[in-house]
Parts: sequence; C-alpha cells; structure tokens
Amino acid sequence: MNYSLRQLLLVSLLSASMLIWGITAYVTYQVTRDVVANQFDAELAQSAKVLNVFVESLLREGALSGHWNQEKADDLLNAYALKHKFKSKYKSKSAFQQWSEDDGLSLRSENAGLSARGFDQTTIDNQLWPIFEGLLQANEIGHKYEKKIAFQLWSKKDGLMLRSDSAPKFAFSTSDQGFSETRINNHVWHVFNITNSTGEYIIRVGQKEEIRAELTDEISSKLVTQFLIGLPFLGLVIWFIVGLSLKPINRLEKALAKREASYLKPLSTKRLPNEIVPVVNEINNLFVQLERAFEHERRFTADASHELRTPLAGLLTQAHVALRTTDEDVRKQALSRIKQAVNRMTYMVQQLLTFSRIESNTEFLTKQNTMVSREVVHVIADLEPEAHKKQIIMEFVEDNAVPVIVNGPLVAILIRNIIDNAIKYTPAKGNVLITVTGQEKYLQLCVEDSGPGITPDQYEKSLERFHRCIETASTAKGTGLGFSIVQRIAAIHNADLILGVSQFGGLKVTVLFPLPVRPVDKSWQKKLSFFHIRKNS
Amino acid sequence: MRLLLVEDDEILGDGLVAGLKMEGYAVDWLTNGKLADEALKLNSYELIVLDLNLPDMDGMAILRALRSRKDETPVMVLTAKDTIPDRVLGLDSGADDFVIKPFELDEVCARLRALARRSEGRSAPTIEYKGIVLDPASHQVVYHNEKVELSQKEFEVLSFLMSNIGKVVSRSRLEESLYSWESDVESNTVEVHIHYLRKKLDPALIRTVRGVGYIIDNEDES
Repeated sequence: MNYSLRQLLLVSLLSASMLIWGITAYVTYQVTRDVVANQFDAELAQSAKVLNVFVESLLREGALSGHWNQEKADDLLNAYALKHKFKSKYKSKSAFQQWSEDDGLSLRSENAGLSARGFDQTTIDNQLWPIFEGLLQANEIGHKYEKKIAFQLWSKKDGLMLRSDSAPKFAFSTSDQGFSETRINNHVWHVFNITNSTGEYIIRVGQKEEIRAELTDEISSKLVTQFLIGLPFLGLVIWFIVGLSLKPINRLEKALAKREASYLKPLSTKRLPNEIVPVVNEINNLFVQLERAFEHERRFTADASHELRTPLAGLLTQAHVALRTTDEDVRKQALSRIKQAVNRMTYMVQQLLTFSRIESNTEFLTKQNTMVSREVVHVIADLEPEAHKKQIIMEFVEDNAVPVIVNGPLVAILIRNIIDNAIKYTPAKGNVLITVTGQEKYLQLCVEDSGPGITPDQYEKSLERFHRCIETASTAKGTGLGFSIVQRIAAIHNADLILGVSQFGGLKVTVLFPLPVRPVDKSWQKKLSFFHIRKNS
Repeated sequence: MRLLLVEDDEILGDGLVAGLKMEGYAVDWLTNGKLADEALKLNSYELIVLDLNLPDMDGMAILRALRSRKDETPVMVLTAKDTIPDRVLGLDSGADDFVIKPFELDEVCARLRALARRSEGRSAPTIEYKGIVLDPASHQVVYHNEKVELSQKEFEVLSFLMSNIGKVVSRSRLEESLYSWESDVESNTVEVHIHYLRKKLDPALIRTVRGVGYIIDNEDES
C-alpha cells in the first residue's frame, strides 16, 4: 500500500503532540484542582477564624446575646457599617487581615460598657438580623461568587444566631471543628467549622463546590482553547518542515523522471541527506549492472545482425544471379547456393533460438539425476550420418560413468554442440573420440578431434559469441554460437569448460560436471556461481 | 574492368562473383584479409569491393593500408553494421562508398559504375567521343545514332580505351582488365577484340602503338 510520508509525519506528529499535551493537560488539571482546593480551604479557614475573632471580641464586649446593649450596639453597628469596607472574600489574605485588624481595633476601642445589659433572644434577633443582613447586602462592592459563599453563627444554647443571605437556616454541618463537606439542594458545600474559646458558639463558613469547579474549568478551558488555536499552526509548521526535509527526494524523483531508459549514468549524491545516499548508491549500482546488461544486449544484437545480414545478402545476390543469368550452369549453381544458404540460415536461427531460450527460460533450471553417457549416445546416433559422409571415425569410450544432477535437455544441447563442432572442423577421414569418465569429484566429458585445433592464445576468444576460427571460417558452416551455448550450459551446471590439444593434434574440449556431494538442493548456489562466472567473463 | 572482391562468406562471395561477371567485370575473389592486403600491394585494380568483417584482418585495416600507400583505387565497403558511427569511421578511413547488407545486386553495380566514373574524372553516366556514345550501365554503344552490337569483351576493351582517351594502354593492362586470375587468356584475344571493334566502328578509331599497346587519339586537343 502506498502512503504519503508527509501526511504520515503530519498525522503522527500531530497525534503524538495531542496525546502528550492531553496527558499534560490532565495532570495540570488535577494539580490545579488540588491547588485551588487547598487555596479555597485556606481561605475558608481564614474567614472562619476572622469571624471567630469577631465573635470573641463581641463576647468580650458583651455585644452578644445575654449581654446586649441596644444603644451601644446601634452605635457600634452604625460605626461598623460606616467604617466597614466589605471587601470581596475572594481577595487576598492581606485584605482580610487588614479588614480584621481594622475591625478589631475599632471594636476594641469602644468596648467599655458594651456588656452592661441583656436583651431577650427575640429582641436581639429582630434587631440584629436586619442590621447584619442590611450590612451584608448593602454593599456596592459585591461579587458574583458571594452567593456561593456563606457563613453561619451558631449558639449551642440558642441555635442559629447569624447567617449570610446565602446560608441555609439549618446547620451546614454536623461537625464542630475543622473541614467537612455537605450536600444541600444538590450543591456540595465545603464547610469549615470553628468553635469559639468558650465553646458556646460555632462559626461555620461554607463555600459551594461550583466556585472551585468553575475556576478549575476556566483554567482548563483556557489551556484547551490555546492548544486548539495552536494546533493548526503546529500542523502548518510540521507540514512545512517535512516538505523542506523531503525536498531532496523530490529532486531525486525529478532527476529520475527526466531520464530515458537508455540513460544510465549514475545519479549525483551531492546535497543529499545521509539517509538517502545509500538508496541512491544502490540505484547507481543497479544502473551499472543494467548498463552492462544493455551493452551485452547491444553487442549481441549487432553481432546477430551481422551474422544474419551476411547470409541474407548472399541469398539475395544468388537469387539475383539466378534470375538474370542466361547461362544454365550458372543458374543451377546459384540455385544450389540458395538452398545451401537457406539451410545455413535455418541452422543459425535454431542456434539463436536455443541461445535465447537458455538465456531466458527457467524450465532449464530443473535438474535431476541424469546419465550423461546416455545423452552422448543419443547425440552420436543423430550425428553419425554427418560424420560418415566425411568418413570420420567416431568413437565413444565410457568408463565408470556415474549419474550427475543436471538438466537433461540442456546437457544434450551441450553435447550436440561440442560433437557437431568436432565433426565440422575435422577434415575428411579424420577422428573424433568421445569419452565419459567418472572421477573422484567430477564426471568428465571429453571430445577430441583431428581438426586444425585452436592456438592457446585464441582459447578465450573462441568462447566469445560469433567468433569463428580464422583458418576454417569460410569452409566450416559454423555460426559462431556453438561455444557460447556450450559455455552457458556449463555455467548453469557449475561445470568447468576446458579447451586443450587432443591426442590427434586437434582440439580437445573437456567438460567437468561436479558430482553431487550431498543430496541437498543447492540450486541457489549454482545460480550464484553462474552469476559469478558471468561477471568475470 | 578488373575488380577485387574481399568477402569471407562463401555464398555471398560466390553470388557477387557471378553477378559482377555478368556485368562484365573481371573479378578476383579473396576470402582472407591478409591475402587481400598482399594482392593489393602487387596488383592494380580499377575497383575494390571490401567486406569489413573478416576473420583474420579487419577490412578497415586493409583500407587504411591501401590509402597509406597512396593508392587511390575506389573502394566500396560491404558491411552488416548499419550504425552511423560505423559508416562515418568507414568513410573517414578512405572508403568511397558504403553498402549495408543485405543489398540489391543492381544497386551495387550502379554504385560501382558511379565509382568508376568518378575515378575517371567523369560525371556524365555515358562516355561520348567522335560520334560514339558508350553507356556503361546498359552496356550499349551507339555509333552515329545507330546501335552497335558488341560482345562483352569488345565492350570492355572499348570502354577501357575510351576511359583513357589520349593515353597509350598497354596490352597487358588491357588483358588484366579483361581477365581475372582464373580465366585462361589466349595470347591474341586482345588483337581479336580490337579487330572487331575497328570493323564495327571507325577503322581509324584505335591506333596500334607497336610493341606497346593501343590508343584512342584525342583529336580535340590536337
């Protein structure tokens, strides 16, 4: 399946960023919630303590129930109302402290005679409540969170004495001291309880959970919005960077696209990242191999065209002569030459087909136990009439013939080419000796003739395609492909092909087929060695 | 006209020899490059037809050796290689013409005639002199607007002499031009051909230079 590296990187990097950010955001959310909770708890405690101090001082001045002095209380509350700066409970601790210090001081300064007389509970309540409530509400500097913060002043004897507007009329909490949580009308309240030093009064300051949740949510949502705004930018930056990093690949692609199949010069590795250089190097290696293969093919085509064009020219010329001549003898000779040329070209085409079949067909790669001597006998039976025409004495000697693992039809072609060659190049009344000998590591096939032979310095050349021996080139009807075919088949079988001088003074062709060492399939090794040979040849 | 053919392929060589003989050339055929090189050093030919792909000596090497000896004999190269670089290399090495195998014999003959014409310094396809019009392509001679029937050898002798107007052509040169190595040359054949030519055309056309050979005098210059 194909995919875009750029898209993959974009999606994966963005996903990874989102995941990491998500975890971070979650942790931050938790931490923020804890910190906010602590902060608010501290504030609750602070508020409760301030109120406690207030109650304590009221007690000391006798302004509370049982020690109530209406006159003093009015003065006190008026003064208190005037002086009182109702700061938001949401503000800093210092503001509380300032506030408490102020009140404390103002209260303390007018404490004489406050605890002179008492009132009954109802009077106190009736008088106190409106004042307090008025005070609590008649504040211009309010805050939207005020409703969510409440306090209660409880007397153990008389029950609820004082509460903020937002506070319920029943006890916030059953606890007398410390933090507690309570649920009222589906709202969770965090309550801090404190009992005054005499144990008569309990101050309860409560705060709705919502404040905390809202604050935490606000912080969290800000984080989320920031990230969501940042995400497209991050994506753009990634897209741009990845695009920039992939530029060398684009350049490479353009360089490759511009090429034609025949242009196989190596690609430049200049200005390429280290990660791509090995890829380009491998492509260049491939180019070198392709170039070599192309060159091979070009040479083959050129050679083959020459080998086919010449007999064609001969055919055409002879046909022309036959058509034009008035001399019957000349016409007959021309016609017999045409026949000869057609036979030769047929043979040539057969050899070319054999060669190309060996080059391309994989059917020849299946190998099995084969008696080479049996193949030799078949070939000799086919070619004997040819030898007989030239009165050539053909002999076959078999000694300790053992089976080898080869492709039968291929080896038959090899044997036919060698023996055919021997018969062609051996003059009339000559000798051709074929021996098959089993040796320690090899099965040796040997074909010796009494022909002109090849000088040792020509051995290598004579294995080239379309090479023909000088002395015999015009007389023997070779195609120059025989030895190439033999060489290829030998290479496919990992067999050695050796040229030498025969006991008759002619050419001796030896093929050494390796004997199977173990019954293990080594076809892959054979293929490898085949390539190895090809490279060197 | 004497021609050396160097071609290693038996059938093609044989066909060319037969075809060129029909055109009236005296053809020597060699299949071996080294032998051809030696033959060119010792003999003179009017035309050379050379195959490039020879088993022992490259045709191009023969060509270069020939030109290095200042031998200007027209050379037609036969080749199976049809690439431009091959042709350029061949022409640069001194070939006068290039024919790619397989070829039509007619084309080869026409090109050979053109080569011969050029080497004789003519550009017209026919040779005209004193009312005689000789057409090498059709092997026809017209004398005072009347067709004259000549044998092949007679035509060759006339053609050779008319190509060398004003120059004495030795008897051996004429014989060489008429016969290849294999043919048996009877001692008086050239005289016989000259005799018939004098009879069929103007008896005063060909003058005998005793002990040397024959000449068609150039009367335009005198």
